[in-house]
Amino acid sequence: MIRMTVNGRTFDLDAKPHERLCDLLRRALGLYGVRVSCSEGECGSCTVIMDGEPVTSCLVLAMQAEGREVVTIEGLGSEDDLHPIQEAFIEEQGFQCAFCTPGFIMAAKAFLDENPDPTEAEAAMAMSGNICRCGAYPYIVKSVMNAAAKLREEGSVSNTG
Amino acid sequence: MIRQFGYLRPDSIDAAIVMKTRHGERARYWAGGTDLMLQWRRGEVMIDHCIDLTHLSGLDGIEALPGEIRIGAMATLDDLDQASSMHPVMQALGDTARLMCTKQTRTLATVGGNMCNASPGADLSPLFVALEARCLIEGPNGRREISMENFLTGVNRTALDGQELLRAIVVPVPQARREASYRRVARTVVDIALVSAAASLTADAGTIKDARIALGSVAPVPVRVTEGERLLVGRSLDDIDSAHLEEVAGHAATVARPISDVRAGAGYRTRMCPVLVRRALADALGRFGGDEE
Repeated sequence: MIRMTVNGRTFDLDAKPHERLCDLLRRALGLYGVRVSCSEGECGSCTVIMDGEPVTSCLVLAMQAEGREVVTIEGLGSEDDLHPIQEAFIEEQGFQCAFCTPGFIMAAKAFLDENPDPTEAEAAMAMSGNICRCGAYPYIVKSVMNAAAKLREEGSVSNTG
Repeated sequence: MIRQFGYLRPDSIDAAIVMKTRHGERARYWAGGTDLMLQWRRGEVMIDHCIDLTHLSGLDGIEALPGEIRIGAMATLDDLDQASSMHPVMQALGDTARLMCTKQTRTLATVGGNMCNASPGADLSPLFVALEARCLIEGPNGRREISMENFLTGVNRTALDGQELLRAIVVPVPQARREASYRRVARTVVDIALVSAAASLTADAGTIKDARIALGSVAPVPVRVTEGERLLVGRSLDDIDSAHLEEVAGHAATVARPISDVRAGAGYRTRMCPVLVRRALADALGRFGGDEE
């Protein structure tokens, strides 16, 4: 059994020795917002935030995450109460099929926590670890810029949203 | 096919070495795991036991000590980026770390893992060689230290014996001012280097005392451009002009021995060597133009 905090709640989870963090989050906790696509750390769709930093959860052993604080898209907002970054992606249509969107939003979250007032070029660079097969990139960058403005307005770019 | 392995968590460096000694070749030290995870999943390496170093203390952190900077083997590429302002030699290392893979992998991938994986295309290797970095190695018979140049021995091969563990990378900080730079060509911002060059210049009272140039991705291990380096030592920083840089850089093409692969042809790589050496040198020289310490 390993203990970790996921989306603010502490769990004791039965992880297999070779199990990846992305698989554990999906299997044991049903967090299907952790999208596993390339499984090679290239596409960023499985991005979650671990101890405040974005990580490709397909490259992390669950055992490595013991004692850590993990946030997935499910921990960001709910259907009734969306996170400002989620609102911004909807407003700017920062997706088409949306398979990659949770990964983009988690990467954006980690980025905006670090840099609340980015330039467009910085936002685009910060999204370079995520791939959108539909090619919604210009709208994604707009979404991140919009989210930054929303969060600045709110005046609270805190840790876990 | 579902592959699996056993999981071991040592509580000290010594305990890790004992585990490795007991379980042998198919037990692997697991640092960030970003390379090893993929190699294992693809079936390129067989692993019976993972010796997870993640929870060990004493292997991470970047420390400024008298005359040197010590980079723990478990420091991540992102840590290296964050430590850029620590010292001019760290500036070049941080700039290079920031070029590597993606943010969400830089937070996982470790500097030590990158060196132990020993890819010919590793961005940090030529820069560490140019900076005269040394490797601090821990093994069953105690501690030893070797230069990065001797640590990297071939494609995915290092001077580590079966049980040894890379503990830290030590970057010397000379009394005289040292400036360094790394330049590469890659297809996209998140791609690996097709060819690269690192340069490090040490100058005292405006005269170059030491110069080191190393090429990456053009041989199994980084290649020094010693003939070019020799042309720089003893020169005044002020009277190095473009013709002189051209002459120094020209030697890069003669020592490169690249292969052709899906990413680039050998001819292209060879022709880019002098270009990148010139860029790296100009960059390092330009940094001397800044505030004197």
